[in-house]
Amino acid sequence: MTSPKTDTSMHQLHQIHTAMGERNLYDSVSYCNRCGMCAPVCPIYQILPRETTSPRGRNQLLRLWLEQKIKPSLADKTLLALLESCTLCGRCKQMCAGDIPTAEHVLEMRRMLRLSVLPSFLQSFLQLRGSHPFLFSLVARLGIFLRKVHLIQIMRTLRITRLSAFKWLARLDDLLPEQVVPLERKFFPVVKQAARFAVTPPACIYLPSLEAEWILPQLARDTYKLLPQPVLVWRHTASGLFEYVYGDLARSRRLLCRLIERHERTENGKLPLVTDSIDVYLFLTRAGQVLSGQPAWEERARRFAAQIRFVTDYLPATEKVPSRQRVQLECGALFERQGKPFTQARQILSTLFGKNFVQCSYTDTDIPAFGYGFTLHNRAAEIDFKTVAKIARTKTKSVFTLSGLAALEMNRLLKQFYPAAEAKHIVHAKR
Amino acid sequence: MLIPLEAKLALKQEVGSSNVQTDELALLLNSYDCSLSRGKPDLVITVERTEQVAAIVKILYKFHIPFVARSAATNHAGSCSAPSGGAILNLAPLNHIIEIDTKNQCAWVEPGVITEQLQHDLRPLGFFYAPDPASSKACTIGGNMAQNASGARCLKYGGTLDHILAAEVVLPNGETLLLERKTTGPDWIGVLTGSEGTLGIVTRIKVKILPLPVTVKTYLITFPSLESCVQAVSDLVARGVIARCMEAMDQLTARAIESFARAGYPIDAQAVLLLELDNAPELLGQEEKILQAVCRANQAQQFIPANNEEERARLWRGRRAAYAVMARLAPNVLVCDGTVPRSQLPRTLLQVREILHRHQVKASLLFHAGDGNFHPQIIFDERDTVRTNQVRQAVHGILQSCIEQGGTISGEHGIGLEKRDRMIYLYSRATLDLFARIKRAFDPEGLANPLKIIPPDYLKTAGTTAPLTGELLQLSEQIKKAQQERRSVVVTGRNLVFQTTKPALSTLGLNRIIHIDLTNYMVMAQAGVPLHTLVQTLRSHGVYSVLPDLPGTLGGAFSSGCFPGFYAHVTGIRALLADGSSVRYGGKLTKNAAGYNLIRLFAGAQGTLGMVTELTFKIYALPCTVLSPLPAQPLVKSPLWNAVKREVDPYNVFAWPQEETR
Repeated sequence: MTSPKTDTSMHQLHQIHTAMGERNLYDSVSYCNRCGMCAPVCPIYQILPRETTSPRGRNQLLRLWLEQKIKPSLADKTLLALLESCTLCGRCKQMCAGDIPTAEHVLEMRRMLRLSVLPSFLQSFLQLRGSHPFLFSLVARLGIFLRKVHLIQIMRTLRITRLSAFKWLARLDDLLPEQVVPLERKFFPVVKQAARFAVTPPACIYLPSLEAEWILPQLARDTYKLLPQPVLVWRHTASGLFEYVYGDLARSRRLLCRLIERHERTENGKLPLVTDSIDVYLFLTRAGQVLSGQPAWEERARRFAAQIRFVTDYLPATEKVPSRQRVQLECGALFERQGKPFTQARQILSTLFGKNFVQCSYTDTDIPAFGYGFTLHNRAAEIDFKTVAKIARTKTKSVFTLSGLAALEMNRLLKQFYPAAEAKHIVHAKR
Repeated sequence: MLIPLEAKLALKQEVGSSNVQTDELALLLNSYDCSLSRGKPDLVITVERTEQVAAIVKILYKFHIPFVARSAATNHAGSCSAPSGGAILNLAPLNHIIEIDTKNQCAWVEPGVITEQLQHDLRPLGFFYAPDPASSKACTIGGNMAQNASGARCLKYGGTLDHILAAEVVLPNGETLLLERKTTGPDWIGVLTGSEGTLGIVTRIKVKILPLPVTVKTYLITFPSLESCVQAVSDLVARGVIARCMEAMDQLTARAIESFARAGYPIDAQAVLLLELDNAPELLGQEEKILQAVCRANQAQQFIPANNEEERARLWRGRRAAYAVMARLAPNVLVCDGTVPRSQLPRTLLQVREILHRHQVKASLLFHAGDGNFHPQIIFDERDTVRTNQVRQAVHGILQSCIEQGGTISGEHGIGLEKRDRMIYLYSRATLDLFARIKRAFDPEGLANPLKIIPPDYLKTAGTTAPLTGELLQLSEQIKKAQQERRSVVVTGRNLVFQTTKPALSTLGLNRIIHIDLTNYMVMAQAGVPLHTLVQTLRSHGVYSVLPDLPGTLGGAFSSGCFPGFYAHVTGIRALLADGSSVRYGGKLTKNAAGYNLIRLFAGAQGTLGMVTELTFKIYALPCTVLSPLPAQPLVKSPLWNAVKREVDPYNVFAWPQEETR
């Protein structure tokens, strides 16, 4: 039921898909019973334990807003702190008996307020991937070249990166490996594809993530080899995830519709579409939610979502790896912490490494600043430290992640605080 | 209320300006907990160090600002909202485990430590903290102490009250006290536990820790009726087997859980019991045989032992999913909490189902079968005010049913605002007045968590106690007369510990063993019953208590302070106060979290606060370790004792025994 007092005029998402079915935003947030089970697992609440930085507080904020008990404004520091501090990691949802999608609520509030949490240049640049892929490619290559000729190092020496407008550049520089080598154009048998598929139809579609294409080519190569051949590779294809997280829902929907259409055109939409990034996987499986309220697309989006696969679906784990080194699974992902890919990943690591696979406590943090949770600037260091402390405490040598971006971020931290360990994408688990 | 600018500045200076929030949103976000109650504060102060608490409270006291301590705010009673405004003290950052001492089996923690975090840290050391509230992954030790939370393991190990060894408390005037269980006089830690922050704020807590049990075995047993399930539990206790957990549910609940969690719960049984035994392996075998025999005798339908850790986890998955099952069906789940004597459970549960049906309310029904504590989990949508009112009425009906069955309106959730109005049906005016006096003694200005527990209009609305008769009436008249004549009397039994020659008020006339209850394993006896008679009578019934066969009376053993180990076994008390009125607290109940713990107030008080006339305490089917008396301690008057004495007995009717003998 919906209270007559609620303000729905600003909603952008029409329905939120939950484990218990579709709900409108007000119903969804009303399922928060205020039990508080979400708070101790929230990485932000762990370092700032107060109601105004807790998942419960975020849900109650949305409820107060929808019931018109508060007038939200970007000038409200408490409101900003609540929305900006959320890392969208979904740990709260994992603990919630009512399965409340708090991260989705936060995103919706950010959209309603037009709250931008990324530096504007970075946002414009990353948006180019969807709108003008060629231009994106050009700028990215230029950036790689400038980094190669030590421009960023020079800027650091001159302390230009300490200026707030350029801080993100230093962080990005830390994140990237020493040599950034984009995926070579000729790796996939693109030219011969048409001829090959005339004889044997493709078995699946591979949608490489941004990082697999531009920063971690080995991830793309290993994923490709893993998949049932022949594989149809869709390069330079934006899913709309970036736009979904960083505010422009209309643009995100356009990109997603384009992807759905392309999928439908290929073998009548029957092919599984595989991704190497858990974030992309979770976004695409939500296609129905993203396109809810658009009758022409809802059903198609659901059919499309049913064809999405994650690399763990194809990762064989039949024999134990002869290793005595301890390993961990880093579940850093957007929106969710549970579901098929997470269970599969645990099973795979458990089979491969047996007792050397270290299980973590429910309050152990992951790095929330991973990937699309790149929102928390001033507190990230504390959470980073807690995460590395968890790895060091259990004397873990390898940390497996579910996205390339997570592996990059984790390696940045490990290099800084605990060089004895290294992070890898789960695709590399058997190497 | 308007907070003076001077007070805000002083607070900001103490804790830093970022830790004092006064904006509307922050206040609204600190106005709720897991209950339906709301109360918006006027400012929120985040405390980052324990030392800051006393300084903050002193400032608030100076400016007469009410305050409420809050950490995880997971309680179901509305205990940590601020209905009269004032300040919220956010203690959640005080989340450090200060020290774990495995040699002396204790740990010092700050109040914001999450219960599960302590368990997590103790586990590798081979220890555990016994209280296990269902919300242990979110609730804090400070909150557990405030509400006297317990959980599934309560029957065997006791509640939070039994596991607090010492506590550092900031009183409402800002004074800091270190309370320990070793000191003479009333058990102040017992009084503070369950007081919901209305008597002060705890800043450091010393808890008892126990070695992890060697072997734990879990069983799922089904019964054809709730009665046979509860009878089996009683028989098990009668045979001397105290299970670690005895979690039960009715058929409707088992079906809902099974359809959601697929934990292997049979859906055709009327009652499902999840039982866990822990002991040394050789003793566990014997206990299992007794359990099987008891189950057979009570027509158990299925007996499913968990053969490995995986199966055990699966069985528990079902029980733990009970809340989630309900939480997904409707926006709100109200977890109700009532306790009755175990023997009354089947009848009460049938009444509860009837009440829920009458009010057209959907709920699951779970209960801790060992201690008579049950939790209907009612689902509704609080946006629907008509439905919400129906739910409230159903809850009131359930609580009323508990009271009628000799139970209490809270076993472990507390009273707060949610059940405050029900207190007049549970307690008489005299008992509520005693609660109010205790509150005034600790907090004369009424600043600490105001408006909680005690109904503001209890003097008009609460009923009177049933008229006293016989010996009790005579004693009451004597006390009244003494008060009118402004003279003092000394309460005595056998006059063994503090031998007085002054005018004595003897309990020796109160010498009846009122009831030996072999279903609930409780005995109700008057204070003047000689210990020798008590022990022999119990033995003739084939039961045992922890009291020794020594000269002296039951009242003496309880009040003298020579048997502190006995307090944990006492579940009910009746006493006469300085105005001759009679008060009652508890009964044949393993759990009671309604009001201040009067048992612990009168325990060891040496008759200075009132005259204990009757006690209800636990007995056992097998001989148990008998307590040895401690030597009589010299009476040390503490400021707290003096303050309570002034409020409870302003004319010093009940004299300090040692002063009289001097």
